[in-house]
Formats: sequence, C-alpha cells, structure tokens
Amino acid sequence: MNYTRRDMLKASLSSMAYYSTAATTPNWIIQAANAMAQQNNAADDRILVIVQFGGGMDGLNVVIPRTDDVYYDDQTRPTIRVPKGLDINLDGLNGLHPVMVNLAEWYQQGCFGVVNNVGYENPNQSHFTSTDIYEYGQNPLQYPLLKGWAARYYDSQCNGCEPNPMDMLVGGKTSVPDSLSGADFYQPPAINNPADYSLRANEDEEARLRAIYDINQVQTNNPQQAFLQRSANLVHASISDIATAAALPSSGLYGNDTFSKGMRLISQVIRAGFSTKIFYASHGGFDTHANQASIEAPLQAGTLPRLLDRFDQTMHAFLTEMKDSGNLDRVMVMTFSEFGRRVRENGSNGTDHGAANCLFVMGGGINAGVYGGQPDLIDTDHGNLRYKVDFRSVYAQMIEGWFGSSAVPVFGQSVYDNTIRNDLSQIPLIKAPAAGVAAGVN
Amino acid sequence: MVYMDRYSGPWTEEEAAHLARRAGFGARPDEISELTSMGLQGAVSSRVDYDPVDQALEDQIASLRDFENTMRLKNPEDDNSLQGWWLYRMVHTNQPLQEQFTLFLHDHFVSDWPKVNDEVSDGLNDGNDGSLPEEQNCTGGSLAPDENRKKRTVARLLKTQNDLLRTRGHGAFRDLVLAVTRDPAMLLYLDNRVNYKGRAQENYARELMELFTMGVGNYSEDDVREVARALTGESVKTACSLDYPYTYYFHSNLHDRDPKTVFGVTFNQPGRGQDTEFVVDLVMHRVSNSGISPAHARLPATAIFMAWKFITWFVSEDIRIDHPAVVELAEKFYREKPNGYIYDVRECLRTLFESTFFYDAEYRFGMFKHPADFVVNAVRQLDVEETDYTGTMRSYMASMGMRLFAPPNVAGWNHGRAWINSTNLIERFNYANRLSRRVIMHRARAQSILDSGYARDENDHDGIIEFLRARLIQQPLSGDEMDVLRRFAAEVTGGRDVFRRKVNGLVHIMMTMPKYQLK
Repeated sequence: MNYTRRDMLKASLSSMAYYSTAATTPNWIIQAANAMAQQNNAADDRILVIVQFGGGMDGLNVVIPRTDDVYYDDQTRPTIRVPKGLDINLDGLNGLHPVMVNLAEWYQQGCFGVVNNVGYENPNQSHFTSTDIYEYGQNPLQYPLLKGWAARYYDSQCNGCEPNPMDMLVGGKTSVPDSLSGADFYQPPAINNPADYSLRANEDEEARLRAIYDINQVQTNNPQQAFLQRSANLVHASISDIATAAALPSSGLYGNDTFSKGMRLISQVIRAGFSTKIFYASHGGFDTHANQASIEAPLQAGTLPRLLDRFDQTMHAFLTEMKDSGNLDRVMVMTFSEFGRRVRENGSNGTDHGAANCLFVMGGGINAGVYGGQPDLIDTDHGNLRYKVDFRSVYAQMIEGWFGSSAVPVFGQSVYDNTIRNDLSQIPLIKAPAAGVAAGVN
Repeated sequence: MVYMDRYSGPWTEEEAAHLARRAGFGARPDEISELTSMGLQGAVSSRVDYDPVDQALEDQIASLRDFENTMRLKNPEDDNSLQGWWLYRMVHTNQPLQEQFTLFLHDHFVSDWPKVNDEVSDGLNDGNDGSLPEEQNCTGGSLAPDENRKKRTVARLLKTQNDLLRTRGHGAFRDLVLAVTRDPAMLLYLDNRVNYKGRAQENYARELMELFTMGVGNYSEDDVREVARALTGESVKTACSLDYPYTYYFHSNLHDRDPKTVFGVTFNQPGRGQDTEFVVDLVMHRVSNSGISPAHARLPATAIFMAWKFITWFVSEDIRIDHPAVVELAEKFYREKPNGYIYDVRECLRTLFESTFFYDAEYRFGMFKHPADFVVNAVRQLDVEETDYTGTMRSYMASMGMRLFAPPNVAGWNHGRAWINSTNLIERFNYANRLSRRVIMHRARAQSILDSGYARDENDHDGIIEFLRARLIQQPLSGDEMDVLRRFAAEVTGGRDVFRRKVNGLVHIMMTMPKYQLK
C-alpha cells in the first residue's frame, strides 16, 4: 500500500480530535503539521540504521577465512568451526556462515558488504567498557561520558533547530542506547512494543488525557518546567506517529524477538514516510562462552547458528520491504559489536572475549564486497585478532560519504589523520557519496 | 566562609519540606510540621544522625507475611528480587537519608549485576577450569549442580556491597574507600581480582582515582600503573560449599614485592595489604596542583571532588567544581574532625544541610527527580502501599531509566535532563495512572481525605486539589494550572464513585505535571 504523507497527517490529526475541545488549537499541533509538511521534500533523505550485536559476536565463525589452513587446524577450533566447503563463498577468500542464505543472495544483488578486522588500539575486553568505546566513538573514553557519537552528529546538524520527535528512533528497546543519547535538546523515543507506547488512564480516560495535555501547555518562565513541557509534547506528538506507522502491514518473516520487533517498527516508520534519519536496533546473546556451535551439526546446534538465522531472516524481511517500497537506495544499515572473540575455542564449545571483528553494511547505496582484508590468525595479540580498520573510520564514512556532512564535529580532527583513518578512505564502501561533502575532507 | 555558614533565615514548612525532598524521599504534611517544629539543627540532625542499622525496618521485613512476592524481597535470590528488596527499603525506611545516600554511593561506587554475573562462576562448568588462583573448580567435589546457585551468589555479592554502603557510608570516607576496594563484588566488577604481580590489571586502580576519589586530571598514567602494582593480590577466594561463596582474600604470593612510586612517593610496605592502605592514604591527601581549580593548589583533590559530588546530588546539578561553595565544603570535609577523624561524611552532610547555600531560594525545585524519587516520593507522600516491589514497581523504574544494580557504566547514571525522554515520560505518566488507583480504594480512605480538613465536602474541588498539592507538588500552582485541574474535577460527573474518580484522576494528572518532576 502507498501511504502518503498527506494521509498520514490527516490521520494523526484526527486521532488527536479530542484535543480540539480545548479553547484554541494548540500550538504544537500547528507546529507538528508544519513539520510534517516539510517532510514532503524529504523523501530523498538518506537514512542510517545502526544494528548492535550485543555480547561480542564471533566474527570468525560468521565470515570464515575459507582459504586459511589455520582456521581448519584442529588446534584452533576443533569442535565449533564451520566445516570446510560448507560456507557460502563470497569473494574466494571469505565465506558466509551457511545459515545466512538470504544475505548471501543480497550480496549477489550488490546490497550486502563486509568490513573485516575492525577494532581499535588497546582493545578492552570488558563488554561494558568496549561497548561504551563503540557507542561514544571514543578511545580512550573521556569521562564524564556525555554524548554518544550519533548524538554528537545530531547536534552538529541540528544546531539550534526545533527537534522533531521522530528525528531518531530506537526499535526493540525501551532505553535509549548511548550512541543516540545526550543531544543538547533531544532524546529519541525508544520503543519495544508500539502498543505500549501510549498513555493509559484506567478511568475517565478522555478527561484525564486532555488534562494531562492541557497542564503541559500552561505559561511558564521556568526553564526546567519549559523543558519538561516540551518533552511531554514530544510524547503526545510521537504517540500518534508511532501508532500511524505501526498500523502498516509487515512481513511474516520477522520473529517475536526484540530485534525483529525493532526492525519491523523501523521498516514501518520508514515506509510511513517520516523524516527519521537515524535508527538503532539491537540483536543480543552473542556472548557465546559455551555451546556456541557444533562441527557435527553446524546449521542446527548451538547459540550462534540460531542467532545468525534470526538475523538473516529479519534482515531479509527488512531489505525486501525497503526494496518493494522504493526505499532501498536511501537506507544504509551498519552493524557493530563490542569485540570479536578469541581465535582458539575454549574448553566448553565456545569462545572467550577477543578483539578485532567484522561488521556488515547493507542497502542499495553500497558497493558490495569484503573490505579490510582477511583476518590474520597467526600474528595475534595474545590470541586475539589485531585490528586493521579503526571503527571510527567506518562511522566517519557514514557521516561523510553517506550523509555528506563533516565528521570533524563528531570525532575531531583525528578523523583526518592516520591514527584512526587507516586506509578505509580508499575503500569504495559507498556507491555514490552524498553531494556536498563538507569542506575539510582531505 | 559564606556559603557553608549556618543558615539563619526563616525556618518554615517550606525550608523543612526542601530538606525532606533532598535529604530523603519527601515528606507528608504531618512530617513536614514535625520537622519544622524541631528547628533547623534538630531537623537536620533527625536526618543525618541515623543508625547504621534501621532495626525497625529490619524487623518489619523479617515479619512480612510469606506471600510469594514478599518472600522474594525478604530473601533476594535474583536480579529482580534484589531491586524489589531495595525499593521496599526506600518506601518503608525510618531513616530516609540513609537510603537516599546509599543510592548516591551506589551511583558513585558502581558495581552492576550484568558484569558481576559475567564474572562469577557457579563452581562447576561455565568456562571455569580452575585456572584462576582465586577460583576453585568444584567439579567432582561436594558441589551439586544447581542452576540457581549463580544467581544467588550474585545477589548476595551485590547485597553485601549495598549493605556496606548503607551501614558504613556515613562514617570516615577513608575507611569506606578501603572497604570498597576490598569488597568482593567490586573486586569482580573492576577486575582487581585478576590483578597479579607481573600482570597488573589497571581497571580498579584507574577508577579508584578517576571516579571514586580525586577526579580525572589529578594523577599521571604512571601513577595508574604504580597504584595497580600496589594493589596486586587484593582479590577473592571461593569455597566448594553449598553456595560457592566469594570472600575477600589477599593473595600474598601474587603481590608485587618491588618498590612502587605514586605521586613521587616510593614505598614498599611489608605487611599483608599494607601497600593498599598506604595508597588509599596517599590518594586521600594528594594535593595535585592540577589547575582544575585554584583550590587544587592547596586542598586535596579528593576533598574537592567529593564535596562537588555531594553538592551536585543534593543541591544542584549545575554547580561547577570551582564554585566557592564546593571549596568551602571541601575545606571543612578535609580539615575538621569533630569525631576525631578527617573526611567525616556525616559531619560534611550536616554542614551542607545546615548551610545558607543549601536553602538558597535559587535551588528550590531546581533538580529533576530521578526515577527512585519519582516513584518512592509518591508512595510515601500519598501514604499508599505498593503491592509488587519485585515485579511491577521495579520494572516501571527500570523503564524510566533507573534499573537498580545496573547503572549504565562505571561512571553511574546521567542525571538532570538525561532522566527525561519521551519513553521515560510515558513510563512516569503510566506509573502515575497505576498508583492513582491505590489512593482511594475504599470508603474509609475517602472519608479520611474529607476528615483531613482540606475539603469541606466531595464537591469542594479547590480543597481536594489543595490536599493533593500539599503532598505531591509542594509549591504553588498557577492560575492556569488550577483551571485545568478544576475543569477536570468538574467534568467527572455521573456514574459511580464520583468522588473517588475525581481524587484518583487528580493524582494521575498532578504526577504528570512538570512541577512534580522537580524537587
């Protein structure tokens, strides 16, 4: 179905009909209507979807160095490796885990890419610290941790703007991840179950909800109260937006897990035509210290194949919906995980915390391929993969190559020196860099 | 001294209510009257002079009837029941500052469930091959397989740390820092348990200085390395008994016996763990001259940093570390010793809560309530009871952004405006809806509101609003706000239980007001 923005505006205003009994048309409804009218010009706007693999994904068993004898040596991964010949060949050197059949097909279609050997200097093996390093885009971390990397990007673009409640959105979670948190005047909605994203009143519902709305409109000179009023009005405005989006039909391939719920909602919000620029969803459970996989039943047994199967199906649903709705070329998906895992398996059919890892990019705007080289399983750092591509250089490509903005306000000048840039700027990850890349790019 | 001079202005119910909102979880009108009658010093003493153990509360918890929910909070054995256990304490404490200050300390000396859970073993499998010297592998021994043992172990570790903060948090700060350093949950959370001679692990050494005492910028990277060496061997041990307990243990054979140099002082103390005490004392007295503020040239960084943290928790988030009020409080914290020792936390809080600075009108209602304030104040001030601490209540609070025993990272929660986003507000508003149902549930309760003297009868809307304002909002309502509330009350007509619906609806609405989010 083709749901136009005009329809959506009408629908959301009519769902607010009870507010019209207030003495005057509330200002925010006028503002919200104006904001949506502006969105009519925003259809070409590019979108970034950040996907977290929580727990530390074992990239070595997801993108397999299929020509490296060390990987197949019984000293390395005797019980959990993907058996030779079973992986899905990508570029001759690297193969995808055999459950990821749909994403292998998207690779053939030119919409799925891999960056190998992503990490950072002095890798930290705490889930929490390393996740902070990725989410804040800092290494080392600078306390107090104030703004996530995407929030810094938001502030650099917003620069005194009047935030729209749907500028960013977190799907499948009820807390805002640090990447998107801490912008000067804006916190995005974080929604697991769209049906819960609503105000409830167990009695006298209409009268109570109208009073809650009205009491947040009264005149105040107190800056904190004004901030709270503005936040409450973001609630009111985004509730109808989310309800509008969640009414759109979606693929039966999504599961009932929170990652699927998140990606389903993200797809609905994109297809409903909102101007949301940055989305975030999280796929958890990758901390596979035990029972990760079995060489005997590589497709069925263990945690990792199950998680990858879920990822494959959910992303297939998402990318298909993007393609069918004409949005594929303006959507970029980028994954990250706090660390990869140890090259050698441990004693309990699993792997322990490691360092460098692979990440994925997806969408119509990429050049499919495997970047960053094959992992080196011999020259390791205490058994962990050494990084060759600093993760911030991938983030910087999203900001510069994809969004056409400068990454300097986000990462400082260091983004332009070799300490974090490595040679990724030479890698044509993005098919058509956005026009108007900010001055200052070397 | 100017800011930390004893407050000499009028002592009225407004000042007493301000003290109650900050040094606890708010107060009902009868409690505010009582605080007012005590005078400034009496009221402050009633808050800061609390006993290490709130015996009446312990007895109350022990005598809870054995429903499933209360069983779980009597004996927390997992993540959710541990949170419920603490929430029950916040609601029912007789020493409100003790629980509010324990929350401050939990936010300061962070340890969290996910990491500790990740670190502990259940003694049998779970990757534990007995290779860590402090962890025994009990496979084949006396330990029976038990899928819940690990959860119980983590709950006990975090509860032990929480009780340490609760019972010893208001004593000598130096002793508290030493005790936290040797707390088993902290040894697991910040990895000092794997800090060995020749393989120094700097995680705890760094956070000890950066977050727990001095603040960033007052030490060098060399100091971090050397402190880590001094702390080698401070670890835990386990036993193959029923619950696989982790207890503090100093592994002498893993301690680095070569000289260390911290802040230019070279030392190598002979006794077990003496290097640790030496380092804590160095940190306490370290005058860094770092230039962070002029006061850093003459006062220890720890005194300044902690005075600043107390002030940003209890007075205003916007105070900078070089504010003269911080310097004055730091000066007293470091130099005065009414009980024979410096860094006397209780006396520092007494000074703060009695100060001219604390009662400055500029700071009243200027702080954003954190989720525990939002939830616990309402329950206490409305004098209602929560029925499900381990389930609904803690779950709402987690969705508001404060999952107890799980701050976002080692630096604690982000405060102020960070507590407010559209998702968190929806949770606040919907919890108000849930709680409002409990305000009038039966006739006797309705009568008690009428008997309070605020409202003449069931149609005295201004009287009902005033009854609730005095409990929830505690600051004046504007004419526009009154109009919205009056209009709502007038609209509730027809059907059953009109009075109950008015009161419960007003509670719901008033808890969504910007003014209720502030303290």
